[in-house]
Amino acid sequence: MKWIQFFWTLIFINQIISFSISLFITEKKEKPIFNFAFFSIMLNNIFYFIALIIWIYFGFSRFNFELVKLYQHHHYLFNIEFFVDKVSMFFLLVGNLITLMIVYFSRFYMHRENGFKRFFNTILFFHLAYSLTSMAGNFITMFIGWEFLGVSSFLLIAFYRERYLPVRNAVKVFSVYRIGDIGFIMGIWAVNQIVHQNINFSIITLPEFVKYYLSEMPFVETLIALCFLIAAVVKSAQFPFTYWIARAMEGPTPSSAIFYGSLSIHMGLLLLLRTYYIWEELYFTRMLFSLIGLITIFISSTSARVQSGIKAQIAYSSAAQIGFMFIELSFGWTNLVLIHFVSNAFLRTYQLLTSPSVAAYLMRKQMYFSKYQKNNTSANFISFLSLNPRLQHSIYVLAQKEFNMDFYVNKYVFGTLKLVGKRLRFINVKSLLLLFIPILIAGWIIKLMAINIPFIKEEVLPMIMGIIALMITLRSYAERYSVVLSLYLIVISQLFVLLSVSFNEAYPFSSMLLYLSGIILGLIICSAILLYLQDKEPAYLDLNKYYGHIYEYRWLGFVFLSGILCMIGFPITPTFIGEDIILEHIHLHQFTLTFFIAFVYIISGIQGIRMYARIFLGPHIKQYHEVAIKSA
Amino acid sequence: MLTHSINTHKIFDESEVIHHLKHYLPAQAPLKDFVHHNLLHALQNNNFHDANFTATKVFGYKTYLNIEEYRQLFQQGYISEHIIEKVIENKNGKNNITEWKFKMLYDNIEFYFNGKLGRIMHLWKDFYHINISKYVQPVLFRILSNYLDQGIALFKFPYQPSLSFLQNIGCIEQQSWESYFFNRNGRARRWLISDNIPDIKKLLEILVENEEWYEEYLFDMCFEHPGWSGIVSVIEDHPDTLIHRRNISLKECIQLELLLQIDYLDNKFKSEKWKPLGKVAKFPDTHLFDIPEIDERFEIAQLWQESLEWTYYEQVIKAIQENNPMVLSSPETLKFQSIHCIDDREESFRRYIEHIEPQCETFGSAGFFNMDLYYLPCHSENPMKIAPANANPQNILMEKETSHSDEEDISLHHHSHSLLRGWFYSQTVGFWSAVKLITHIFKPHDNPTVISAIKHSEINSKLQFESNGEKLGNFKIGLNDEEAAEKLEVLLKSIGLVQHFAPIVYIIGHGAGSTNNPYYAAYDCGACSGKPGSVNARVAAYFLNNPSVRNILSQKGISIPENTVFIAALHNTTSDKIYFFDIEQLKDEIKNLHQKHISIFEKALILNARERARRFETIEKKGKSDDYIYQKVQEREWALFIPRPEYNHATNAICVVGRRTLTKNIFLDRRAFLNSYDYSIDRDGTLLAGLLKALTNVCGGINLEYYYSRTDNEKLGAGSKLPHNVFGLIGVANGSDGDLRYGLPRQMIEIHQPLRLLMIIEQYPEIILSVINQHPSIKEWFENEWIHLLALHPETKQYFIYKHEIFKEYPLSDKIHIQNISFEDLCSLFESNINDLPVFLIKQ
Repeated sequence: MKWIQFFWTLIFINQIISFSISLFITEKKEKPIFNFAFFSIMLNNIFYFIALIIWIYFGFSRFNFELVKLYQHHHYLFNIEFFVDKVSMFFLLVGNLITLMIVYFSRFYMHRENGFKRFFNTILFFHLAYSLTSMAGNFITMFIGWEFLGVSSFLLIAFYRERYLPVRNAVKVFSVYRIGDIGFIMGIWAVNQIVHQNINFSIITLPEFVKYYLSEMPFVETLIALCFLIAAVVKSAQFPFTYWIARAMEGPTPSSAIFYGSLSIHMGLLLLLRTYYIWEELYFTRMLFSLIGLITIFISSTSARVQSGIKAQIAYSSAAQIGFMFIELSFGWTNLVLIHFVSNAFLRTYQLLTSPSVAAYLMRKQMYFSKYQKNNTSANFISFLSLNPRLQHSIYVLAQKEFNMDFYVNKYVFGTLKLVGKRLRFINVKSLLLLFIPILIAGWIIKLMAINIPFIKEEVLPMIMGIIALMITLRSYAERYSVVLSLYLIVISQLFVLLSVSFNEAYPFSSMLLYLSGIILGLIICSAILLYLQDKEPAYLDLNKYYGHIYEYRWLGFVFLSGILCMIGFPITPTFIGEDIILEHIHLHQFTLTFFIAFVYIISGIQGIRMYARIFLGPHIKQYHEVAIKSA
Repeated sequence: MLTHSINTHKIFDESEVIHHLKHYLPAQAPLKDFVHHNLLHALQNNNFHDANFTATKVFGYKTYLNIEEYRQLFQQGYISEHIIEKVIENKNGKNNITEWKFKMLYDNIEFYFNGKLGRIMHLWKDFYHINISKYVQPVLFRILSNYLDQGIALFKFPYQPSLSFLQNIGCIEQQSWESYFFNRNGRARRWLISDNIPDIKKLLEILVENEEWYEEYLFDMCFEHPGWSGIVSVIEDHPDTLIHRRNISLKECIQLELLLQIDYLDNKFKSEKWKPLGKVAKFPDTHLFDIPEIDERFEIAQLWQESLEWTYYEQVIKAIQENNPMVLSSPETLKFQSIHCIDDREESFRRYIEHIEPQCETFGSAGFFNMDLYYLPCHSENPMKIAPANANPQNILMEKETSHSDEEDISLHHHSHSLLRGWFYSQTVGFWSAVKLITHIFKPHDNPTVISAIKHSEINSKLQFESNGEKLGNFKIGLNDEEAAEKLEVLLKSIGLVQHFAPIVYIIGHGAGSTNNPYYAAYDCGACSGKPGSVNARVAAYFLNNPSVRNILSQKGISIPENTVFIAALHNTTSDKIYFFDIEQLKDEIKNLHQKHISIFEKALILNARERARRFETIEKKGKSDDYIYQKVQEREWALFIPRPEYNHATNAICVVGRRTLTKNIFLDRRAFLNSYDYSIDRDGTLLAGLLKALTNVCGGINLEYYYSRTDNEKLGAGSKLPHNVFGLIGVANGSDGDLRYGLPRQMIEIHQPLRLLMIIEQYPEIILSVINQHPSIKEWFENEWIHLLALHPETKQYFIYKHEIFKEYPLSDKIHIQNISFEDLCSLFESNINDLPVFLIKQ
């Protein structure tokens, strides 16, 4: 046990260190970059396999261990914990092997490509995120990995950041990911509220424990299960979010393979395996799982069959298999799911890596063998439906349009947000100065002076502040012109969140500082950069279109992204802990308040990334060099 | 200056506009028929520099390198100062040299490549704040890619061959509950299903109203996705380029897009009564093709470009002038002769063969060996053309027997995408793929995904050479002796091989091999329409060995000795392997002789691979043996992770039409197309005319495709190939929503210096002039300076440059020195130099 623990710790430390160091390797030479990445992942594999052997030798034990305590206050504990069991072993196995192969593959494949170093940085970052998520021993650790996955995913999809479509699609996928994160945040919050302690997976994967806490509250239990389900459905590209996987095929072939074909897309399953006992007894939820799986299977496999682009075809096939895994899981066949996962991951990796061969492979057959030359247009069309051409054609057109999922999610989810945001136009610089900031100040004064306001019930104030925070965030989301306004709206909304929760319950000043630290740091960095850009590129700085300033300001772009990540509570600053503590202080019955606050986090995250994308990514506005057309 | 300008009066002539559009759209055929062509073919009737200027101002293409890049090349010595001065002097006069030189070297020059294209479509954004294309393009792309799909989708488009494109779409639209349109009851959909679609003019009336701008609106629209528009236009003109044919036309494609736009707008405004652009928008002052006066920045770029070109050209010219190769002692001692393709990749191979066996002769001829044919593989029903793109073959060659089998790769099987079988596959085959993945990645090997030239026609396959009088469709099966003799006469005479035949004459076609490479067809022989040249070589060899053909040839003055044997071969330019065909039939003594030669070829190929390896940075070369490097080069054919199995025609810059003695012993760094040609046989220039027709098209096309893919890899080239996604087996796009990409990917052109082709012809200037004047299609290339032309006077050895219909003597500057280098020193240069090397004379 001690030894497994030792090697797992080594894996983690190795990853953190090698990712950090990899940022500082010079990009002039390819070889050191590759050697370093390959060596680091090789080392990981070695550590992993030693751990695996010990684990097998000691009879497949399952146990939790704590790596480091990051923050503790009374019963509140924020720590990084790992969990060893067959699920984490399986996920690590696949992750390590595939990443190793991909890295070796990319050494030659990415040779001479612009961003060779960036690619390997991102792969290392991704691998860190993947391992952290797989090894996680509690929800918080897992969520950190989960967030890392989201950002590394954004970076890999937008790898060709000087073109329009990769950037647009990266923002699109990131936004959808964030929707799933709402589920995750709320799920963690609810579990923590019930258990009142930082619960780890070795406990939560014990059926007795879950029964003890949750069986009396079937409603809450269902709610929790649904929250995690949303997170899993989004991450694993299940209905109705399947469409993102086709949009994600913008990076170089190996990154598409590693991410969307094989590894990242299976993470939803991991979450469901971890929360297995929470939803195991809820037959309604299990049926819902099966149903989602079933719909996904139908939608994805028909979409795959209609796709005329090879990568999207493979991606949809993979999503369909995960639909199967959802069904298998809902029947409780966890072992089958694991085997299916391993096999599917390797198959899709292989298919994606060889996807450019398909043209030649199939065309050669067509050119040299007559059986492939027959013009069989409808012969293998949906044969079991051949009796009804109308149904046949409808399914064909639907599948071609990928069942309009993109359209509907856009319209009903993001469209609604935008619509609401647009209605909130009255929130502008003037009203901020005259109304909202005074409210904010007044609120803090009331809070700090502990003034009692007559006629207003105490529970109402947090709610009001929460709603204001949400409104401001939505306004920021709908802002299409001023970067600075959008930035400040995000910060102000965060302050309202803080105020809202402090009306709710007293919490220590220190955690408030934690919460503010990242936001303020981010604000300073971003404002400084915006000021600088305003001076340098006054004509090309708004949210109206993509400007691609990264072409000229590479470092600035990197720093701006870091600033944005600090500001939106990405787990690289203490703000992340602060956010977690804040949620801790919302009671179980204040479900809507949590929802609002989670929403504020999510939307400000999306908007932050979007700001970065609009200013720094996309086709460069100054076309004194080669720039691709928008549809390329 | 321009032959085409947009019709500025208010009349819109649909067919004329479509004709213009087709003229300007990219003309790249589907992947399997990759043929190199000038990417600015539409402007070829203009002078090169004018065309470049127009292309930049109208389409936003970048047609030169950046000034900074030129300056860097100057620093690196790829541009010499005295050439700069010479170029300026020729262009702007002697007095302005200092001024212009200063401008070239030090002026702060800011270039912006924003073309005029896109202004009218952008009015939707300016005046209505809507982005039509964002909604219309995805639908259009999906319809087109599914409609044209050749075999990726498993559910095929329910295509009815008797209907046109729009009728087909209308048909599916009518018989479906789901619609491509936003408005199920809108007018656009109604028109489509009732097969009563207004013509383009009517549709534009709804959208634009102002007739003056119709044409430009269409240009904007089509050039927002030049890839799809272009392929539709190509398929319309050459329906046989698709194995599964589809009826389609650019007109219908435009109509569909306009319908979708109208539908989108109807939906957006919730009524059909919105105002067209003509009512709300302010149109620009100038039209698309109104070109401003050329500005100084372009003139500077032109000067740089010419300086870059002539710095290299002059080295070649000087080297040819100084070259004085050892003349063969006597024809009797000749061991063998070999005929290669003119391809630049064969230059080094020939050089090494001659180095290893001085008693041999090599020739260059377009790689179809004048055997313009169709070829029908044994198991196929779909004939493929194995002749230059502009040829029109009458005969078809059938393969009777082959060991070429239909190899399967289970993981690539379609079943993995289906429902239940997919479930089964992904539970089981996955583990097998893990094993395959590991072996593929850590030890590349031959596998079914590899496209290798030898699979075109296997060593032991049997061909039906002789005509049996039958026909297949419009083609005569096989060749009869007269037809063969006629073609072979031209072949032998044009390369000047009419006497002194060696005991064995090799005819060596070439092809390539690669895996994971959608562009594989671009790597094969350009003169065989992107197929390997093995079948052509076999046919030529077969008939040259045929006694009755020899009889006919001898009547025409070519007497081939009885004991001379022709052997066909195939050179794989990727793995540097060579295969010989039809060896069993040979007599034993010839076989023995041939055996000795094999090792010469193999040695030459090892050296060739070593020379090529200098460009591949990922191959360790320092202190490695030749065999190791050869092995590594061979692996590039199989490895999944190699995006550049070879560099194909990259760095090509010159074309020499003349005897091999001109270029023998000159190190041309695989940059030259070498066509053997003996001026003394061709007194009236008829052979030359035939040669030039093929050479200008093939070499000029290759050269300019590389040129423009290099100068603007994003708009004229295909960008990086790493994110490419194969669509419908006809093209590639980035990701799953992008437009098809055309031109060459960055990985193919990254080492290419964009130089136009310099053609050096060893012939009397008067004869060349008369040939050019008789053939306007050839003349266009030279007159408009798409190719530079130099005549090398066979007697006086003087050079004459062609300019504006006359030849003028070309004064060679005396500042150029060609270094003599020993063979060993040259080889040691390959260890560490990856950049272009200067021209050397190899010491004998």
